[in-house]
Parts: sequence; structure tokens; C-alpha cells
Amino acid sequence: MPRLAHTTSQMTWLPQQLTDEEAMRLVRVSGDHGAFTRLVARWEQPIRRLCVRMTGDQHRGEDLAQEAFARVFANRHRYADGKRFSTWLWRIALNLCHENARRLAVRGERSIEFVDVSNDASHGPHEHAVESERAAMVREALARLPESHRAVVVLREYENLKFREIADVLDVPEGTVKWRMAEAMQQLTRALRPRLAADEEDGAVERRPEGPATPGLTAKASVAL
Amino acid sequence: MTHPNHDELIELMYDDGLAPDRRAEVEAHVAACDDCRTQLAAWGGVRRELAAWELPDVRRPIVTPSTSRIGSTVRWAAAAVVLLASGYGLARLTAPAPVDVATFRSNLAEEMRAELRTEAAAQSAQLGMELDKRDRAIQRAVTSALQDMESRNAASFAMLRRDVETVAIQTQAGFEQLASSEQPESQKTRQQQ
Repeated sequence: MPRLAHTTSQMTWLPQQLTDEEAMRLVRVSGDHGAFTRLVARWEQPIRRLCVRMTGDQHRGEDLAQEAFARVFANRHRYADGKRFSTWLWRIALNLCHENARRLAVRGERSIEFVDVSNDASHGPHEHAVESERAAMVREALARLPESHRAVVVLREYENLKFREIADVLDVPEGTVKWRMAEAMQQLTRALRPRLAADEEDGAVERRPEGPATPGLTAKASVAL
Repeated sequence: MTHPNHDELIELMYDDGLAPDRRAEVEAHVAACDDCRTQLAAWGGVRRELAAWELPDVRRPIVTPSTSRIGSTVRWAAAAVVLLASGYGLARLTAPAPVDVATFRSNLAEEMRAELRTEAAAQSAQLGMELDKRDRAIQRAVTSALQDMESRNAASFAMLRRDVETVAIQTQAGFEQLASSEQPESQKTRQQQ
């Protein structure tokens, strides 16, 4: 298997394809800057998104995301060789979000301020405003979920992790993950009721062909919950 | 036919975790069950709302807030040092092209100088002096990294520039550690086929 061609000091000439685990091994073994930078470049957006959605705070989320990578590097000796890197990384980021939440709770404040809710700028001004309000409602609804439930929703819904992966990240049984998801969906349904009603009125409800997954939406007039 | 519990409806909705035969059963049940269809419709609405909270990618390096006095430019420059020193950009290419290193160096240095000037103008005089010192240190580091690149038959400058612009920046402490870390003694050359 083709490997590193040349290693000198802390620089390693990396082959084009390097898995997360291979890169992290280099970081662990020799503090390799190139390998570490590659991991950061690859994972910065997902980790940033997670931290922003968990905290509901754009700036705080970005800070925590940076801190997550700093922690990866600082704790590189603790990386278990061969284990899945992303699981470890998600967990580090979630721990930071948890520590942040605890700090805020101790200080008696909770940040619901959100500075930059930016969506596609190609919409007209009115549409843009509506999108921002919608996003704000979602953000607040998620903020009201217990942290344990929010983590499941964010990982499954926004980062597309399978329930089994989420179970690994959170170190809980898979059944627990699904139970939390179901609970979260019920809570979100109540929290977003006005939006769901508005969607129905707007005719946003589509008819879909019968098949797997979602909302076979031959919509009922009222959603009894 | 067993009425599915919420867990199974969740599994169905995400197509995640249902065994194929059980899935067929659940689907068949849902097709015939008003309550289950209503439940899934509600959750489908929730998913639609959740999707409305988009977070576009951040293209510029992540900036730490005002906890640091120096600001984003130095971080960007420090990121450049890390990338250049690590040969990050070089490894990505299948067919390394010759690069005009002199042009790259003068372009990069000029842009860095411009940004640092802008930054310095916005800060106090004392901070400006600190930035000058930092500027010189960074320029030295970048120059030596570039010289190293030259000796290795450096590759495409455009790709490297793009890499530099998209790398995430660590916290101040972490970055200073990386940017100022000493060169350890060289290791044996390893070449494998």
C-alpha cells in the first residue's frame, strides 16, 4: 500500500488520499501539522454547524468549534489508534457544548441571542425576513429541548448520522437514541405548531408517492396531538 | 399486524434501523392506519421546518472574538505558515506543476503586509508596534518555509492559496504553539513504494 514518501521533522509528505484515521495517527505519533490541517479543513464546517446549533449562538458556536480542534491536537495522545476519528471528534465537540451550557447555567444566563441568521441572499427582502423568522423559531424550539435530545436531533437531522453512529458518539444504546428522537419530535411538533399550521394553509403539504420514509402527506385537516 | 411504536415510526421515517421484513410490515400498516399517517405527517412537517434553519459554509478562516487583541490577520498569516511548512497543498496534487515561487512570495507577502497595515491602523500605536514585530517574525517564517518549498520542487500556487484561505484557525494559544514550534531534529527519510 503506497504510503508516506518522505518524513522530516514535523512535515510529512502526505499521499493524496488519507483517511481520517491515518491522518490522526500521524498527528498522534509525530504531531504532524499537515495531517492535522487536513483534518481541520475536512471537518471544520460540520463541527462548526454542530456547535452553532447546539448553542444557538453563531459566535459561541464558532469559538467552540475552534476549541474542539485545539483539543483534538492537545489530546492527540489519547486518540485510540484504529478507532473511528469522527466519533471521537463529535464527542469532543459535544462535550465542549455541554461545558458551555453548564457555565451559562451556573452564571444564570442563557444566550438566545443570535446575530447572523443568513440565508440565501438571492431571495427578495420580504422572503429573506420570513426565512430568518422561521429559522429563529427553529433555533428556539431546539434550545428548549433537553441537551441530550438536541444532540440526537442535530446529528441525525442536520449531519445525517445513522442512529447507530449517534449511539457510539453519545455512548448510549441505540434504542435510547431512537427514544430520544421520538420524544424530541413530539416536543418540536408542539413548539412549532403555529408553523405547521401555516404550512398546511400555504399548501406546502405535498402529495408524495407511497414509499419509504416520510410523511405520506394526504394531509388531514387537523393534526390531533 | 403489530401496531408500530414511536421508535419504529422514527426508524421508518429515517429509513434507519428497520429490518427489511419489519419495514414492509410497518409500511403496510401505515398505509392503512390514519393515526400513524397523521403522526408521520406531523413529524414530516417538523423536518421541513428544521430544514429551514440553514447554516451556509463559512469560507473565511474562523475568527476568534475580541478575547485576542491581535485579531484575524495574524491568524491568517500563522495559518499560512503552518500550511506552507507542512507541505499541505503540495501533497494534494497528482501532477505537480512548476510554480513561480518568487511571484508567489511577493504576492503573499504584499497581501499580508497590506492586511497587517490595515489592522495596525485600527489599533493603538503600541499594538501597531507589536504587529510589526509579529509581521517580521511571520515573514521570516514564511520566507524560510518558501525556501524549503523551492528545494522540494514546489507545486501549484493557486491551490495553495486557496488552501490557505480555507483552513480553520485555532484558538490563540493553540495557534501560537503551532506557529512557533521549533523544528525537531530531522528523522530518517522513509521511502516506500
